Amino acid sequence: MSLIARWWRRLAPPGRWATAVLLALVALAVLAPLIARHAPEAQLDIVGLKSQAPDAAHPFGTDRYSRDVLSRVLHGARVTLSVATLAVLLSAVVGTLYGLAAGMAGRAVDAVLMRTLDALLSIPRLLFMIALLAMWSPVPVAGLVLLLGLTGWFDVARLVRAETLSVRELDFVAAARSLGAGRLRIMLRHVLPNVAVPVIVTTTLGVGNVIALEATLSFLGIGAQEPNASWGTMFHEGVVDLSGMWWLAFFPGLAMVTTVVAFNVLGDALRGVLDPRQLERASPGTRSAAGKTV
Amino acid sequence: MANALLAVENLRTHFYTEAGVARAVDGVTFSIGAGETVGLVGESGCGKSVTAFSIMRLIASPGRIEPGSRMLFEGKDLMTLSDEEMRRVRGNRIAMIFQEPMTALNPVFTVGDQIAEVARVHERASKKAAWNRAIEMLELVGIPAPAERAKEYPHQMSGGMRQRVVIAMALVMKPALVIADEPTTALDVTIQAQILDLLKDLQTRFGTSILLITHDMGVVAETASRVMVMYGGEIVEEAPVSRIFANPHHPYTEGLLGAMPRVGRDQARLQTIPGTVPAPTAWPTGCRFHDRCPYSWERTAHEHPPLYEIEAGHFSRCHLAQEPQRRAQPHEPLVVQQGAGA
Repeated sequence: MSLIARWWRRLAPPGRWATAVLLALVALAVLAPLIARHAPEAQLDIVGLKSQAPDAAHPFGTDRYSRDVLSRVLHGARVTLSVATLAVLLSAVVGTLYGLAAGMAGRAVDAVLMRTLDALLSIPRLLFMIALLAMWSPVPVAGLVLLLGLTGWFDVARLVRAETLSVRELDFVAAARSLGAGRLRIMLRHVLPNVAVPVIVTTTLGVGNVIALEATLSFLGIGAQEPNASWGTMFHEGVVDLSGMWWLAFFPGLAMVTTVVAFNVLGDALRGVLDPRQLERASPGTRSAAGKTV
Repeated sequence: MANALLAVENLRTHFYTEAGVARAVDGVTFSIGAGETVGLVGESGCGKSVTAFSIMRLIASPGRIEPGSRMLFEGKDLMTLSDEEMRRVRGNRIAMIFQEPMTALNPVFTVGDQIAEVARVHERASKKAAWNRAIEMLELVGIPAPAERAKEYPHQMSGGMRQRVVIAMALVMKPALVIADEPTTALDVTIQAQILDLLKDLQTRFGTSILLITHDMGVVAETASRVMVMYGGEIVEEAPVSRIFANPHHPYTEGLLGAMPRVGRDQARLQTIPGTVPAPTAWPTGCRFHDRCPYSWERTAHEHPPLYEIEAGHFSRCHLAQEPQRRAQPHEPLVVQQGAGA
């Protein structure tokens, strides 16, 4: 049985629901140009369709430029999800490499790397980004990914270092050494796969955080910029226009909350699945003590 | 021994800890001939595992193999090899079998993968060739349906199976020396016997030398031809296996044998050796066993005994060799009188 199938079998129902929701959201985002009835920027009828409440033709209503909010939310999913996912992946990669290096290196290198990390952690992330974005505006989507990704790897690095320190003392690492495996092989083949589980969990939980952070930046008007409006950008516009037009902020906000909650629920559920001992208990090949074969 | 495969001379491995310098291995000298099985016996903490890891040069900081230690293996001093040369010895000419078959295998790879890795590391074998080699090795160590079993993960196998896999990994390159660190301790008794038989069988087939590390004199009797008893970072007695059982000299060896259950011996309870192995940061002065020894006297507390030759090929680090009459007057060991070491 493939690993994915085994994980799925062990995934608690909330985790399965969250996965379904996320897959649906990703599908909507990918297919947005096909399923959205209008282009996100199309001003349909600046006089006749300005600021319409939701109705059959425009289920999420229209904004003050007569743009269809549903179409905008669908396209916004592309921006929000890709920025968050790419940023978190970047954080995971950088954090994992940094943590592995610190954990496998000698005491001196480890100390230098960890004190550097402490220094980096002492910088307030949001203020730092606001300061940077104040100078770099409008920021391209790639720039946003880079900024969010490169300020989000500290926790991953700590986690990976801690895990590395314990994994590298395990017998199979000593065994691999005694069989002639070199440093790089030990690190990438024997330690890395065994620290991957907590990284996957934290990374999943991290997506929600990054979506929220990106929304905060957009809300401050320094996040994703038109024409690449994210949900946060839309929410910001909606709140500016809040005079009775609740749908402008409500639908992007709802999309955002759904996504963040889904990622967090999935992250929690994965924690249970990926505990290797639980995986072992559930695997089909495990023999009972009575049925031991030699 | 002139034609020794491995000759360890004055091996000293010290650990520089905050509590002081731990002299875990402190001047160990021995040799292993080609095709020979030598047992290294002692309690936990006596330095046997550190000796094994020293031979592999896998001592991590704060530990250090002290200068002056020599380990001649196949004509080369392992101490003088570069890290890269040493890496090529490990798993290739000297391999190690670990105690815990569960933890000695990487849980995220199939057993076939892990056996194949050894061939890939040392021979740059192709994936396909290495995989076939893995299946061959599994068959060699007596695993039925090896082609299917190779695709299993360690947790899908029983303890005995896993230990066979660990042995297969060690033997991929047909090493000249296998260091087996408590290879059967974690196994059921019936499976222990099977694993020991397997080791003996493979040894006769490949002519491998084995350094068998154990705390179990029974395992030694079963497998080894010569035995070295270690205590306090030193070898305290060395003899052919038959002599050690027939004529143990060192009081510590006597204690180990007394602690071993034997069929046909009428004894209400097994004897124990009072106290525990002292801390390697502060070995006792004189004989390192004197505070646990039932025969200790003035001299043993001050004068560190050399290895005396008791009979041909039988050495003991005990002053009783010179004052055998003392054996007639056993007394309560010091450690009990002091109430320490409990």
